[in-house]
Amino acid sequence: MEILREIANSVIAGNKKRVQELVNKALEENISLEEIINDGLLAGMGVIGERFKRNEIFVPEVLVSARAMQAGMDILRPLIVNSKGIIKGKIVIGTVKGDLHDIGKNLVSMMLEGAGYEIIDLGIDVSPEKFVEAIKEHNPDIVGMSALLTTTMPQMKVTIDTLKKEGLRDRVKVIVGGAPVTPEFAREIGADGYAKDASEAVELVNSIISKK
Amino acid sequence: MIKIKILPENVLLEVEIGSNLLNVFREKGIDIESDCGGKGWCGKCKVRLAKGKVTELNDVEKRMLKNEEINRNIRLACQLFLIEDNIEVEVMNKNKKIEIVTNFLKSREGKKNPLVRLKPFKLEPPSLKDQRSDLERLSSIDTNLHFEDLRLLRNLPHLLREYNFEGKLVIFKDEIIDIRDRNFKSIYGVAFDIGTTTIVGYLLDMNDLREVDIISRVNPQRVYGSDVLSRISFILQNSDGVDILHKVLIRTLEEIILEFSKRNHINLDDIYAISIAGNSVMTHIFLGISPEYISYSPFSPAFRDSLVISSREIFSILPKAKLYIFPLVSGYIGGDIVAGIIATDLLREKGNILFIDIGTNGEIVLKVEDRLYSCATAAGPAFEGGNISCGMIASQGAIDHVWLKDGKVFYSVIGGGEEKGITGSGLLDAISVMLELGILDSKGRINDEEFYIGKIKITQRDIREFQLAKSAIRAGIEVLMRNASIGYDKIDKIYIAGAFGNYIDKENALKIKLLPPISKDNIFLVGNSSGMGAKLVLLDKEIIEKAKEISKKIEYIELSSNSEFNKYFVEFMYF
Repeated sequence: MEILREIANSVIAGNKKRVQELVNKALEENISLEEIINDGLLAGMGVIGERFKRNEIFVPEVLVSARAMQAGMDILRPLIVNSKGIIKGKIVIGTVKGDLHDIGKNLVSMMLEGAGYEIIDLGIDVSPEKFVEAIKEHNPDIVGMSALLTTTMPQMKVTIDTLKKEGLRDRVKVIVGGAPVTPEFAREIGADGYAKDASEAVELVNSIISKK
Repeated sequence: MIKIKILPENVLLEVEIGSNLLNVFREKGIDIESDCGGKGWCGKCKVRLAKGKVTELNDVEKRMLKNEEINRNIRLACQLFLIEDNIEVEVMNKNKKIEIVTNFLKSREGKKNPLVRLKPFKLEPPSLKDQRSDLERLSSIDTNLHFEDLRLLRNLPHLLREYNFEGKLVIFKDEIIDIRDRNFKSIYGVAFDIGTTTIVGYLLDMNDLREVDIISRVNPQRVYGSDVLSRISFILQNSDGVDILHKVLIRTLEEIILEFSKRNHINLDDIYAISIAGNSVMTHIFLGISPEYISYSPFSPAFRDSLVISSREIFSILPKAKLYIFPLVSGYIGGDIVAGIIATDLLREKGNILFIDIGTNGEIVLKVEDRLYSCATAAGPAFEGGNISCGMIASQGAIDHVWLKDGKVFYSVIGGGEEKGITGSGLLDAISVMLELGILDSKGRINDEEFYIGKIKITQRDIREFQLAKSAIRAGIEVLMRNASIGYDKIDKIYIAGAFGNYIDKENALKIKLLPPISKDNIFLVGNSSGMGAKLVLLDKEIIEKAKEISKKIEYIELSSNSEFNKYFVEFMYF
């Protein structure tokens, strides 16, 4: 459908206003929520993710597109009654205790949202206890942890160990990322996955969810 | 190694044969004007060859120098290489940074106030009529002086009698720290700038108040990680980590002191004052204090105030000296920045001044009227060549400058010879050239997959790393400006400190938007201002009070979790 392609293109161009206009227009034309989201908003973000992965675009462009996508989602979210077929999975995400950096984590959140996941963002300086509470409350499929400092990376292990102690470890998959984090470190602390950047995070989450 | 003497200061250096003279100046922290950064087109780095032989006059020099100058043995430091022993050169044009620093010293002229000094004394020996104690007798010389050292007290009775109650007091600030015989003359001080990457020591003659020698060494902690956080990670992972890092650092500092003593023929016992300027983490480790709590939120240091301690607590080779440690501002604004503010006399300078120390951590201070705002940005190691595919630190074989002439790309390599990699200043220039040629767009995308400078490939990833680093610095600047409520037109001057600051091309730094838009004539490369501040405190004890005032006055703005910073950080990734 032409209007859906236009929505996707407006997301790619990062034109927030246009996205909002087009989403409203699509609703008037009685196009289904599922189609607007999947073939419009998320299709656009998919292209952005690909371009980011190929280094063609950088953080600012991704953020601008993600904001445009979110503006569209904000209109649709209240209308979603049955999320089946729209929401692919639920993810709790946060920057670990002692670490206040969130640009990378926010980028990952937006890309995941743009890939059709529901994100519960716990913010920064998130203690293991807060992760535990959030898992109990939201029952997510995946928990994502971010750290930008080599000195706060050990908190990822502390959090995983706390999940084990609380008997929650088997209920969720744990994925980690952040500039100093390596795949070896992720394995060592017993995480289920590692992604080096936001577009890899989407691939990682897709593969975990598809195996469920 | 060959010897070279730098006039008029008479600084004697040992350098490798074949070294480029401008690079020697840069590496040893000797100031010389060099607008083009060694490209050979400004003709500013003039030296007079007073003695010895160097490489022959080349075409660049013939073009840049007047005949009259050539007859006077004037040469360009950037063009000549040291090929023989025992060379003497005189620096003709001092960089502006020297003016900035000497301004401060000039303002204090006539008031000689060294941190450590000698004071002659002659006492009446005790008699049955005058049974005052030795210490009372000594204290009667000057009631402003005090005495704290038990070790010295143990020796005092013997020394006074050995010297027949006549000799010289060694006074550190207001404390009597030693007693010497009446013929004793020479006392020395050592100033240390302890950087995460490089350590520089300066030997000062405290009688003549002049610099005698400089030694710089790579910080031996580098094998434990290149930045402060990876050093702290090492400490977190090893129970004796602080001890290990402390010991390797002290060993290197002692080596520098021993080398000073050896090559200048001075007695270790005659060194009485040491000053230490370092970032907060280095200062903690120097003192053997764990910097762990600086490394994660809420980032609090163990102490902030300046310290004066006995050197024997740290240096086994200096039992009698005193150490002065610069105060810290926060976990990420350290004594090196306080020392830099002192060296550039930021508080007394008129107008609004931005002071930037560009390195792995970019510390930024903005002086607006009489207020000082500061922040620290984790720029990452890109400016030092880190995380760049062919990156390297500014050393032999690194491309340090790239420029265009008649549409063709030219570049210079540190030490001459073949390029082995590219350093931060080279990458900054390369990006500017690529923008100019249209190879790179303002969003940071390379049109072709890659770009070569000589044999060195610049990849898309390198550009992305650099974008993050430069944007972090620029976003920090923007946040401080907002906090101080000033716009670009209100910035009168920018001082750039740090090793990278010696190499940076001002015009290109403006072009890629690392710096806010101001005239390049108002940008000053101030060099190793931290080391200069460390020297100044030895020359003038009043700086101790000044440093205290500055460290109390500076407002620190935390950038992690700062939403304004995040906004600017994204905005200024573009060129």
